Amino acid sequence: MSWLLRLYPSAWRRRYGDEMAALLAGERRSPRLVLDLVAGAIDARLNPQLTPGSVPEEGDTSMRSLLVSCHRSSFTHAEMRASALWMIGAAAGLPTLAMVLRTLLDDRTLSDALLYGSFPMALILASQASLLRPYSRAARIVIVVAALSVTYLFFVGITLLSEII
Amino acid sequence: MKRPSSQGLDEFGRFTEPAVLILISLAGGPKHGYAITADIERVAGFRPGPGTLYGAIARLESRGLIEPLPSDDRRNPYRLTPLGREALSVRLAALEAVTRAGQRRLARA
Repeated sequence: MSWLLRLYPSAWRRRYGDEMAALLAGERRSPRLVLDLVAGAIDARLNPQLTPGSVPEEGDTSMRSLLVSCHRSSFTHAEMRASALWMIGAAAGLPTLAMVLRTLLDDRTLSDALLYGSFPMALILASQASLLRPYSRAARIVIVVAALSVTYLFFVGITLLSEII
Repeated sequence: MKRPSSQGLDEFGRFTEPAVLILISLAGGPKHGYAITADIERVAGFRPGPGTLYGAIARLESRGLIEPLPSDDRRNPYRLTPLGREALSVRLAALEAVTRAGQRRLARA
């Protein structure tokens, strides 16, 4: 019956696999047990829990570690509210900033890129209040600034390309 | 004044009841998965499956309500943390208040 544990994510199996296998060894086979394990595997894939062991070690900045520690199953009410406020504020503020830039600059490329990229950039800003919450303030600032820069440059490129075409 | 908190137990969905039963089991001392299952069966009259048990254990551990103890074999024992003790205490007090209210109404009916 322990073959059903293969349905669980590998990180989960590394953490709880041996314990679950030991527990399964004493269980009687039944359809209820199969259903319980399948439902548990679906839950583990949809809601992988952040355990202390899955938090990146100090100085471990590999992308995999960052993604694992970001992968939270659920957010608190306060985090969701803060994230929604950031989203609304950025979705209103970034296009406004683009309009201001348009009036200040002769070249419209930079303001248009900001306008086109305002939605994904608002998502990035909102993520620092939810998805990136487990990180320190400094780490969040670095990640958000880097993601915003890449996104903005991407839209500047797209805008320039559209002008050429 | 800071309100006592059940530390997110209400957000566990279908794992809330097994999680509370695990906390109750660990309040009696550290146990590994098999011993927790047997204890819950003794106390609550049903036996949670391994998928349900470890879904609840993972949630409790990720929120710092329980913690694993070092072990030589593959059966890791767990113990209640001070945060878990507080969460259980708050949860049991809430359940007690609901039970008392229900019993008062039944007595009047």
